[in-house]
Amino acid sequence: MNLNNLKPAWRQFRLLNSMQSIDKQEILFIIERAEDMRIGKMHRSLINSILFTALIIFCQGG
Amino acid sequence: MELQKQNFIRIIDSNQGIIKSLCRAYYTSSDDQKDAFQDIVLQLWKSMNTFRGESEISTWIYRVSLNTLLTNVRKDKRKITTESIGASELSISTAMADGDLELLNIVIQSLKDLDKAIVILYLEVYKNKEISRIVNLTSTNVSTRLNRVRAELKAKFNNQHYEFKQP
Repeated sequence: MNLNNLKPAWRQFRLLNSMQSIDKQEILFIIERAEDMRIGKMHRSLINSILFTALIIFCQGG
Repeated sequence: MELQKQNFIRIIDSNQGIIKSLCRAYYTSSDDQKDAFQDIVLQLWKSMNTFRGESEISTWIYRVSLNTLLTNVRKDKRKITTESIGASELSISTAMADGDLELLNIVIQSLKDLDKAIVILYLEVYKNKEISRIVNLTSTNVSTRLNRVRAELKAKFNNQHYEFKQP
């Protein structure tokens, strides 16, 4: 078997998969959800940092 | 930001053939293919700022997509088997499957995950050096793997009657 003989079939396969148009709303949903998650993570990190700092400042032994 | 999103959608739209073909090469069920497509789109969006235009945009899409798929299939229990599968399990629908497409699918499904990525890039007419950059291997390693795949396919399909239509 010669792999080169499969090149036209791969091109055909790729072409067939590009014929259906994509759902733009779906792409928007994916990237906006990712942004929401990133903002949520930053928010949680900020709150945790403030709480940790407060604990360090006010809960020192002695 | 809106402009960036619209630009990204346009890129995905014009390169969806690559992404969907790769998803179909690695997953047989349509749900898995859909999940993989979403994962790839997400990774492409996250890494869009790292694309500096030094290579073709399709090369960048191949790199991100294949690395996402290879990471996913490594940890995914639902990974398709790397053994040969029967015609009834082919992910290419029968409506579009002529002889060459069927053979392509049988060959692709018979390969191990990393070899599959290398063979797909080879079929996409990338040079060994470019393939090595995309899949993070050395050129020698890519060449060795391709030779091994050729030998395995020759042994596997030698006694079977598959014929290519002449283009």
